[in-house]
Amino acid sequence: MVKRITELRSKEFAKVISIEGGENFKEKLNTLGIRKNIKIKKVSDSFLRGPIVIKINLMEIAIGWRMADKVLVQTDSLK
Amino acid sequence: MKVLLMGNPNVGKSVIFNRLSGLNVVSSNYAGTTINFSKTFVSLTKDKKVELIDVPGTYTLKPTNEAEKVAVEILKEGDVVLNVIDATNLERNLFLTMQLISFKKPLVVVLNMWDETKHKGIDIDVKKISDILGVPVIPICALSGEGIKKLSLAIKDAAISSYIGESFKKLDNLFIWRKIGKIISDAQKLHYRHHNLWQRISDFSIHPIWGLFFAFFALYGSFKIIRFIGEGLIGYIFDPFFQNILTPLLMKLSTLLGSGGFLHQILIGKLIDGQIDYFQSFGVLTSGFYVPIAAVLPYVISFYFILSVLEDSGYLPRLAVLVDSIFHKLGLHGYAIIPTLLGFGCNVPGILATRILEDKRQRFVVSTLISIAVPCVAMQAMILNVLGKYGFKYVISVYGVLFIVWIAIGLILSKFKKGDTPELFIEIPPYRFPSFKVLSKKLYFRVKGFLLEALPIVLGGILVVNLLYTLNIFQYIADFTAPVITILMGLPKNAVIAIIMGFLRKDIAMGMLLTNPMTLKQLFISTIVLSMTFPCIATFVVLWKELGWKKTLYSILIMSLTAIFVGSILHLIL
Repeated sequence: MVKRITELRSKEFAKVISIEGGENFKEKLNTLGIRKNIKIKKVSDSFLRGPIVIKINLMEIAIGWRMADKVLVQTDSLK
Repeated sequence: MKVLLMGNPNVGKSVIFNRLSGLNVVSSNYAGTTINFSKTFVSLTKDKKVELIDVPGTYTLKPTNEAEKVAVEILKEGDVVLNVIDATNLERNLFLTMQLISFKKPLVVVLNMWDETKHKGIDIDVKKISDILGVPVIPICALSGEGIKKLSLAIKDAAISSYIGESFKKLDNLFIWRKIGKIISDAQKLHYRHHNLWQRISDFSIHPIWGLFFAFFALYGSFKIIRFIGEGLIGYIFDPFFQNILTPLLMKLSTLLGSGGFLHQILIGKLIDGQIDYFQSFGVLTSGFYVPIAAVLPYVISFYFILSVLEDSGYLPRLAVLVDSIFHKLGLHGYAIIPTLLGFGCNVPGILATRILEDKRQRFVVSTLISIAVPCVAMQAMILNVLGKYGFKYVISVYGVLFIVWIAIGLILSKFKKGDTPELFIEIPPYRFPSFKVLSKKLYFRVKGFLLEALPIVLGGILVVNLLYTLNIFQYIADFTAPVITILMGLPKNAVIAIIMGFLRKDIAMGMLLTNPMTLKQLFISTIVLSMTFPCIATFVVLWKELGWKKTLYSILIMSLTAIFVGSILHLIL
């Protein structure tokens, strides 16, 4: 199923399939390793649309809500 | 020869820098206009000295911000690059490595945090990476110093890698990730590990609800410990030293000087009931030494100890995540909590640290908020010393008022200075147990910095104040400002002198307040006004340098108006 990072439940795994936005935005996400085909795990939400914490490999990243909302992920085919 | 330490932020470049320069001869700090970087000369072998440069952390060489621009500029000058990599995060860190390779500079890859890879179930084949890249790869643990020697010997073997043939301009991210993927699949194996205790604490402390409880207890606990250590040091070491050893000597000197007169006024100050009172006498040898050393230094030690623990443990970025949504209401993002907390030590590093915020608007707002509503440790120590005597509730009330002012000004500024606040996007480092060695070194430098800066200003300031008193200059100022001070705020007119002296240092200014007989209410109001008005000269200089004169004046205008407004309101309602 295709979702946005903001729609993931916490502790859910997913694979990034596309990022909405311009080149600069993609470049920015790329610096912390968020890119197409990478596996992520949502660690925790925060309230009031605060940042969301995700995990890539062993690294935890906090990403603003609106940014996270532009990242589409796929949840099936991953346990 | 110039050797550059380059790598992502927070991979331990500075620890390596300190380790390598532990063998050094001369060291110096260079403050750039936009960014700080340190360099030093290091003798690697007996006859060879190299210049080692600690380059600010960067994720990419495609400059997207000031720090990265600086990094690319320095890279052009470098002869050898030590590319420091967080070994627990190999894949992401290799991105910069690939870009560095395309610059065709001789390279040594340094795999830092090597010890952590083992706990985390990461197996890295060092030789394989070295074979693939064709450059020396050195695993080290900078915190313990393991591998540092090997690293310093490997610098001469730095080689130009041909792993990436394309020039930097032609590089495409997808291509880089493919090249990295090959290294990872050949040289790294991951074994799944269960959640350990640190991981559990980490999950707990960024949880939207539990995390807030955690933050409350962490900050409250920090404050308690700071007070406990500070009061302990004063009560058992510093105060007894002054009372039992120095007081008798100074009293002898006082008698020798005839218990009065010009020289007595300058050296000893006023005697209170025939005795030296270290807060009120205000002589160079009495208050001049007591205030910075016995009243403030103990809190400087305890504050920086706790701050260093918070910094080194990795808690601060988590706190930034938690407070982000609240800070956004003030038009700031959560990272602004870090300069703010630093400001509680000294406003100067706090304002400098606003450089981690992306845009000028946020830097202006945070710097202004720090200089108005965040009292430095010297000021806080005096608040605890002076108001603490009347009861802890007065101390808490000062913080309460300043907190309300902080929020109010933040809200107002976010209305007037609109702008889009970029969202938080940061790496959260794993929790680490602070290294005692690194901690004590940092504490030592911070305490030394305080003494070198504070003592001369306090001593000189008290001398000047006493001279100005005898010249009656203060009387003119006090008469001139009397309407604002006495009518609006209900303070004795001489309180203005202390407030003006706050421009030198807040701790002597607080000492000067005490030389006026005041009611508790007046003391409370003047303490708050003093906290909020004029930044001390060091803060002023740094505001000027960081924001430019226009914004500094603007900031000071906001500050003065707020101080007068809050002082008057408190006078009305208390």
